[in-house]
Amino acid sequence: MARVIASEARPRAAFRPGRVAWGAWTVVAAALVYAAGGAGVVALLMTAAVLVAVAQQTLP
Amino acid sequence: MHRNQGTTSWITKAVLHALAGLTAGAAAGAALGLLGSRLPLDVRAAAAAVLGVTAVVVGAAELWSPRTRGPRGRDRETPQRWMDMGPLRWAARNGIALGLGFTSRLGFWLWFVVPLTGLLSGSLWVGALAYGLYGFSRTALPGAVMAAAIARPGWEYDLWLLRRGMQARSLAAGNLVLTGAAVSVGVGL
Repeated sequence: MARVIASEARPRAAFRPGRVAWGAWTVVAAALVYAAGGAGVVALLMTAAVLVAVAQQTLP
Repeated sequence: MHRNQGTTSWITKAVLHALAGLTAGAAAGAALGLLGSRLPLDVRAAAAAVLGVTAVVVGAAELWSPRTRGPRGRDRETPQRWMDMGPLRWAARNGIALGLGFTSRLGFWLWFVVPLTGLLSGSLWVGALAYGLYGFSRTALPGAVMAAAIARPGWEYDLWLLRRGMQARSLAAGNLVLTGAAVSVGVGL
C-alpha cells in the first residue's frame, strides 16, 4: 500500500531540463543537416553508431 | 583469473577483441549496404522517411519515460563456456558476437540505426563504416576501461559506467530523436 501511495504521489513525467536540451539540439541538428545535406546526415548516423556502443556498456 | 585465460597478455586479447569487433561489424555493414543497393532508391527513401518519423516518436517516448525497457534482442551475455576455447579464440569469438550486436542484449532502440544505415544508404562503404564504427567502439571500450583502471588504480570505470544506466538511456533516446529528425530532413532534401 505504501508503495502505491508513494508512486501516486510522485508525478509520472516530471519536468527535466535534459529534455529541453535535447529538443534544442534536435532543432540545431536539423538546421545543420539542412545546411550540410547528405554529409550531415551521414555524420549524425556515425555518431549514433558510436553512441549506442558506449551506451550498451552501461547494461547490466 | 578465469580458466585458461592467464597465459596471454590482456593487451593482446583486448586488441584482438577490438579487431574482431571491427571486422565483424564492417562485414555485416558492407553486406547490408550491398543488399540495400539492390533495392530501388525510391523504396529506400520512402522507408527512410517512415523510419525517420518512427525514430522521432519512439525516441521522444523513451526520453519522456526513461524507465521503460528498451528492446532486449537475445537477452543474454555471451556464453561463459567460450572461455574454455583459449584466450585468443575467446577474444576473437566474443569480439565478433559483440561487434555484430544482435547476438546479445540490445537495450536501446538507437541500435537499429546501425544496420538500417547500411541497408537504407545502399552503400557498401557507408554501411561498413557505420557498423564497423559500432563494432569497434563496443569491443574496444572494455580494453580502454581496463587500461584506464591500470593507469589510475582506485578508479572503478566499469562500475562508473554501470551506474550511468539512466543517463545512457536519456542520451540514446535523445540521439534517436535527433537522428530521426535529421534523416527526415535529409530525405526531404
